[in-house]
Amino acid sequence: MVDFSQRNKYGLQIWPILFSLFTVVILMSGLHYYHLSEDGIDLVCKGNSYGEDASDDLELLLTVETNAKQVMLNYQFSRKDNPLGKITFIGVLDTLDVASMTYRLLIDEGELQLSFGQQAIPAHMSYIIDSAKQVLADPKTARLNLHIIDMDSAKGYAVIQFHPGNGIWICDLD
Amino acid sequence: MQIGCCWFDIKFTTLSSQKNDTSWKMPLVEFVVLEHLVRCRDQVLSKEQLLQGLPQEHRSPAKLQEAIDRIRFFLGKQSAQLLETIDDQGFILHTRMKPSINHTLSGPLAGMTKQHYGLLIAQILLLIIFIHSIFEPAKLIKPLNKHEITTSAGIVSYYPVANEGETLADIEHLSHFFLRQLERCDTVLWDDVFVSFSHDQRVSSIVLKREGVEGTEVKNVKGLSSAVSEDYIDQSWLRRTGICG
Repeated sequence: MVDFSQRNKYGLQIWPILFSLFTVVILMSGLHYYHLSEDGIDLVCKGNSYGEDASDDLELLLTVETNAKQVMLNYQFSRKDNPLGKITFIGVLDTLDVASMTYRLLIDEGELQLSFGQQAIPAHMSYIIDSAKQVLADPKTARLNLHIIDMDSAKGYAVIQFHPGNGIWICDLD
Repeated sequence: MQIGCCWFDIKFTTLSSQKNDTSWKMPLVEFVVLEHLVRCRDQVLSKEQLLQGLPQEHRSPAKLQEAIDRIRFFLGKQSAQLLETIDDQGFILHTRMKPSINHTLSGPLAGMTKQHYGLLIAQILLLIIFIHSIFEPAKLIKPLNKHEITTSAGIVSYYPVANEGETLADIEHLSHFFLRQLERCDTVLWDDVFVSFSHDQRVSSIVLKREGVEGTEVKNVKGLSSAVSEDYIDQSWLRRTGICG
């Protein structure tokens, strides 16, 4: 028997309501995805590493780039403007905890590149490699929180703190 | 008699669809209802008026509604809009299609057209954007745990930063150690000094900030020790790193 009415007992047609709700959900998802990608963070942090001996001093450059949900952290090491190598971590932006201003990242890939002719790994670089090895060994995905502890968008800077590691950086907001 | 895409033949009691080339030999109830509507086209007929025309044994609102539904079904989606329910009290058979009769909802919320749905969705979307803008991440965040040091060059703000899951009490000895070193400087060259230490205390992170004539100047300093000790942070190291003058 064919149901000619397509209505429920209240006389409402269900499909237009479902269609409207579906449309709203799609729009909300789209908006949320758009804003999440907008809420990504791009940072450029320049610094210097000082060892106990002046010969161990290095120049550092850390960049944090987000593209939609993809995240890339790139540490570059140089000495007197000669590049020594770089370490790249790739992962995804899991969530942004707005209350604590913490970007929760999931890092699943790490890559080390030494510059041509570079034999020894500088001490600071070696320290970062060892720390990353520990957290990426098991499980293969490491949680990394990027907590903003001070920021002024108008002046174009943010002070960030990494967990684990507890490294703090002041960076230009890109 | 043409009704949308169908031809209603009163003589042979058939309704023929020109859209799919089918013909429906109409049962008595459906025929009587449609004939009545056709004769009073563009006029509202109440359910009672239509029921009066039905044979006694078929005279029930349910039977009438079923007949209307079957006629609409045969007319097809487009042409069925010509047969409109009026306030759930009666029916009207329009001669021409009207945009306003393109109702997508009937019953208690009758009158919701596609335009209304569009408007409703747009309003919900604007509401979502408005709510989202309220909860937008802050553009200005001020640091906590500020300590002020008075030096010969002025007041320096010092911010010890604890590890996740630790309190400032846990890093108090490191924090005080660094503070004492800063206080011993002849001049601290920066307005704001943030300090943190790694779990193993081998790496110190120092963030420096000051307001200059060309705007905000910043610097990152990392101290690396081969041993678990902060003793490398002394006056000469602070001068080498450009923290103290």
